[in-house]
Amino acid sequence: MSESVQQLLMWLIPGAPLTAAILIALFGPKVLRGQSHWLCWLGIATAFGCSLALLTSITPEGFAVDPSQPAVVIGYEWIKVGSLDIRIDLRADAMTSIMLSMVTGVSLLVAIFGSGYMHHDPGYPRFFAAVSLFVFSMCMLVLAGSFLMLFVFWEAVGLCSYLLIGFWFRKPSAAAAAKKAFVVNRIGDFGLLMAMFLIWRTFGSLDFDWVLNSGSTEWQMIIGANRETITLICLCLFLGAMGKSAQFPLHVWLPDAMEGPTPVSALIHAATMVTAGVYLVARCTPLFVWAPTAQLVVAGVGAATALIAALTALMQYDLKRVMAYSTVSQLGFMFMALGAAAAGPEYVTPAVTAAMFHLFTHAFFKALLFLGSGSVMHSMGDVIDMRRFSGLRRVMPTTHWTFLAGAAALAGVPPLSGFFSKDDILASLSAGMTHGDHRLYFAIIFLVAVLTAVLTAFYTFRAYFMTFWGPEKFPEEAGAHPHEASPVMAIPLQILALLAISIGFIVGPLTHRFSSYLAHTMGLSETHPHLHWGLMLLSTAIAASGIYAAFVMYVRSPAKAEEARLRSGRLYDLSQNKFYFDEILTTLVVAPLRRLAALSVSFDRTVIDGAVDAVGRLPRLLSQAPARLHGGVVGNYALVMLLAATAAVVFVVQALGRQ
Amino acid sequence: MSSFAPILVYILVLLGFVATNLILTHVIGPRRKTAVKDMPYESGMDPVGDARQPFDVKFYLVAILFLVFDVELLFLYPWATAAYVDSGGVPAELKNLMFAVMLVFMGTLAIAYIYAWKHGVFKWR
Amino acid sequence: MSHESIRTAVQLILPECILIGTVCVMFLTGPFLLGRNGQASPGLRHRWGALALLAIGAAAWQWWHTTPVAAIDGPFLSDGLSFTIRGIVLALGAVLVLAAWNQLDDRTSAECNACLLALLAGVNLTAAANDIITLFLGLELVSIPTYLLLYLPTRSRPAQEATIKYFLLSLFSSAMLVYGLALLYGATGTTMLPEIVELLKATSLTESPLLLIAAPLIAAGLGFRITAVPFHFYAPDVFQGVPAFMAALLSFIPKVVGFTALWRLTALTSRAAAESADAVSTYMASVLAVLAVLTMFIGNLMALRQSNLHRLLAYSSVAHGGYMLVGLLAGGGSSGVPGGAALLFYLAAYGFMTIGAFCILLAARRSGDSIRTIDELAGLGSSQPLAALVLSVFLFSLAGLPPTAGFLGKFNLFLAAWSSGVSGTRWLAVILAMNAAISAWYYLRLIGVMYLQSPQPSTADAPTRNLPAWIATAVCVAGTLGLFLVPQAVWDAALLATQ
Repeated sequence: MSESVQQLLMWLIPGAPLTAAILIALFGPKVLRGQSHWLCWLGIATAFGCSLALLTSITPEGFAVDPSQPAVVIGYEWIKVGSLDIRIDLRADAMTSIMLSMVTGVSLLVAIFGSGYMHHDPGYPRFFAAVSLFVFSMCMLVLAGSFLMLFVFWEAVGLCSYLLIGFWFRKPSAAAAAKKAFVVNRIGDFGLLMAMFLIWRTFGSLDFDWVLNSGSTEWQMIIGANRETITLICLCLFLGAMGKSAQFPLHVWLPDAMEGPTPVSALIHAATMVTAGVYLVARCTPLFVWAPTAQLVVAGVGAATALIAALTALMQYDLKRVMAYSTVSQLGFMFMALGAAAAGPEYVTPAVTAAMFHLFTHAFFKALLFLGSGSVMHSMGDVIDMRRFSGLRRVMPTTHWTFLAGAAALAGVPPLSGFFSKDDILASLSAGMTHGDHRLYFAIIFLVAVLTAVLTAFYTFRAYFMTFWGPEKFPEEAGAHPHEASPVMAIPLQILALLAISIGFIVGPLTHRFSSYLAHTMGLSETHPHLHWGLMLLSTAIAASGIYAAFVMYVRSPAKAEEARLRSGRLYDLSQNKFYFDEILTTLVVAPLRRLAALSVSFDRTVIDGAVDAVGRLPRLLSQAPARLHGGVVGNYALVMLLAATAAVVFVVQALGRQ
Repeated sequence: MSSFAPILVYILVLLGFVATNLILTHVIGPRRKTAVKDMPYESGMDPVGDARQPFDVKFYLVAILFLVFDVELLFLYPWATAAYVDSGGVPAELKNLMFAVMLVFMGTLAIAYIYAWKHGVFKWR
Repeated sequence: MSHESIRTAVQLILPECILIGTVCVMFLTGPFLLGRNGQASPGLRHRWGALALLAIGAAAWQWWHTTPVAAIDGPFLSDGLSFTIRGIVLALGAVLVLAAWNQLDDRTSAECNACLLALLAGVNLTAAANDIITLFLGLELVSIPTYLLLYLPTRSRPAQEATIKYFLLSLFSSAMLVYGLALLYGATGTTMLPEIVELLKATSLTESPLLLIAAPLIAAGLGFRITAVPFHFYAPDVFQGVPAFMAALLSFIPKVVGFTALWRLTALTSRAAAESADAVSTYMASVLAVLAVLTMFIGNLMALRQSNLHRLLAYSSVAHGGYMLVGLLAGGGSSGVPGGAALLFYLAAYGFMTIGAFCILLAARRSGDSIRTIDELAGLGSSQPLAALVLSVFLFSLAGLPPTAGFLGKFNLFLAAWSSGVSGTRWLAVILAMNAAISAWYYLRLIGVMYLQSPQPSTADAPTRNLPAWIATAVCVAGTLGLFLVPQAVWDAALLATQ
């Protein structure tokens, strides 16, 4: 493929959704109305096609020459002010093109699903405009060639997320959730900004090709001279990633973000945007390998998040919230894998590959589970409490089997996609357990991972059994005849289900397609992974035990579940109440901030307003003072001018006199 | 000092002329006093009372137009005296150029004059 | 002075000659196209507007074919600064002609268009001045047509008040300026600017005490034009009384001439230009820094309290004058970003955004003159979505938010002040950032009013069509967004001026 075609492709990937977003925003409310989805589909489909073309065009031959070079760089020099040279570069390598294909593919399916789901909503064009805008921002985020651009679109996806969480802005809870997401994300953004500042100070540039290019000797010298700073940079970067990827303790915004329309939850808060943090850390691997402390922090925070979120998910009754906590937990898994790169240089690539692979498969099965939940919700008249419906498997057969596929993949049933990726993560953790300087640490993390995997299988199938098994029961909001999803919603579900079942098998460890492709990324190298039969057996056992426990408790003898609930008492309450995280945060952070806000309001009322009033009166006072002089107002103005000129003369004279 | 002698003579003649005229009018002229005639400005404003009274704008217009010719003279005199002397004036190669510049200048003033004329400034309605 | 030098001098100001020639034609033929009682055939203003645009186009063509040359010995020069200023002024002059188009009545449109062209020529002559006499003449060629333009289009009582106020105070400031320039001539013995600048750099104040009075007087005289506090008092009163296009003009044109003249006298104002320790500029820089701080704070704080849009934008214009003063004070900047270039870039950006804001108020009017109060903006988002969106773009830019020219302009000013390395200038940078934050409040409040409040039923007439104003608005939107998206060409031109 020629250079120019490739460049055109790269401009089209973000360009097509942006065009769609602008057109829908301009003509949506008046002209397109109910037909707005066509433009959105067209834009995202174009981007998807181009992403696939890019995926096939840039590797592996294009890379064989020099793996450290990115595949394509297109520069547009925006402005050059002094020493500051701001360029807009689109930059693609293997990691980028995998992310692009995944993002645009899932987005396309979600957009198709959304046209059925959002039918009849008055904000129909607004929804598609925002989704197109999000796809544009997300594509730009992964195509960014420098930290500056990454940051700009990091904020842009945050903005889209804010707009879409608060889509039903008349609902107070939605508005509050949007605000919460926005505020919590600011903490992470602060970290990212600090990291950018430090990188600028240390490397004198923000370009990936310079900051992350471990090849040059100059780079090595900078790294050698600034080891502590590198650790600090990595910690700051990870703080940014924690905000966006909802890691403990900044995870509180994600479950609330479920106030948005369900397709949005599937797209932004499960498959794409929340993985941006994982992408950032994976992208910065060349820096992280020089900061083992930061890697340990990454692994530790990931493990804590995975466990806490899984425990919280155990006893939630809101189907979407179960999925939200599951997402948080799975993101924790990915960070654990990224942290496991601390085991040693030869384990970096497998660890990052495992994280990216899990990110990749997770996008499909989690989007599927969310869309399935959306389908249930749509059919049940917007009721999402699992206690109010059950036994849906006969009423909604398509939703049922696709949801089952997703749940099995999430639980890690072989040979579904989740099985392979989770297995990879466990493998890289066990490598940390047996090699490197932190064996005990990784042993604990490995145990946490195994425990979390069991819990995952359990809560996933708990949700599945509660929803689709048991006696047929519908809430009154559903009306007389709950219906199966319409084709426009069912087809994306089926496609996603097929992907969730087969993708791990096709590109996973059995064929090495994913890992050998991803290896053509800056900071990663070619490896020859092998299958871990022992771990695979363990994984299978984990999945089976979790599923079996859920089956026993929620299908065979539901009484046992009740009994267990009573017996566990406090623990149950903890899980049900999300470990009181919101409450703790409220007392520790929000309440003092509120008080500060109240204080600043009163400060504003008294001091600032007073000052403003005083300044407002000042010109009047100035012109009142010489009011005795005849000549009206203009004369006073002139007098003040004269006084000022005189004051200037006096100043210069006395300054001179002082010398 | 001798070069100032003509000026001295000129001043003396001038003062003499003025004094003679004033005295002559005082001696020969008829005197019929009326209230109107006793005012300082017989055809002008009332000198007693508020000085800030409205004043017909036409006076200003005429005064400003007078300025047009005043300024014109200000530039024409030096040029006229310097342009056509045989030595020490405008260099020969610039004479035509200066003439053209003067024409442009007068043309510009003429535009202002025509503009005012066309707008009826000279009609004392 | 020879044949040759006169010819080169004329060639240097050919764009202005074109404008002035058109002015003469307009004044000469204008009266002849009126009827016996001074009435005009309807639609006459279209012809005059078109002629004015044509003249600007011709001048711009001439401008485009000039190449900036360094210092020259004569009354005029054509360097990078005059090149850039001419470009900015001609482009925005065309916008002003479009904005004025339908606000003029047929009878006086010849005179008004002529005055507009004359004052554009005045700005350009100021930028091309190489001599304090031509500098002052250029400044007056801006002021005098402005007086006429204030009163000619709408002969109402508010316009009368505004005109008299502006006239008297402007005369006063001109008097201070000309006195200052006279003393400057007395102190240096020459009227040529380059010579004056060279002398000033090296002269210490003790050698030439005349400068003690000259420099503050010049600063005060020019301070009026850039609406520096406390020479700004006229701005809100005058803006309120005049039609929208005049307010647009007043918010921009005087600033351009003021800053151009200050720039030409850099040796009087910039600390960086001083070679001798107690040169006058070291003291004047402090005076101007105090003016800049006062201007930013008072402009923004007063704007917080306004309910009339013209007054609000007047105070906003005051505050922007303060921002630009920061650029001027940041100086040449041997390392980092030259403050002068940042100032010029900001002038261009500011021109588009402020004129654009007035244009859209004009174009979106429902009845009468233009939108004048904040209450009239209520519900614009739903009644006239396009107008509301466009106004939001300009307000974003005025507040200095991306993706607009205002953001980049403030960013450059900040960088310039910060990178100059002088601690005093760094403080100015911090104060600039603070003020940008304060100002965001009242600009964004207007957006809130447009989108969140419901419209008043009484003003819900269909908008009257004003095509030229819409074209002017479109140009300004293009400028405001274009200077953000593809700023490099303008930035390079601004850099050229600092060399």
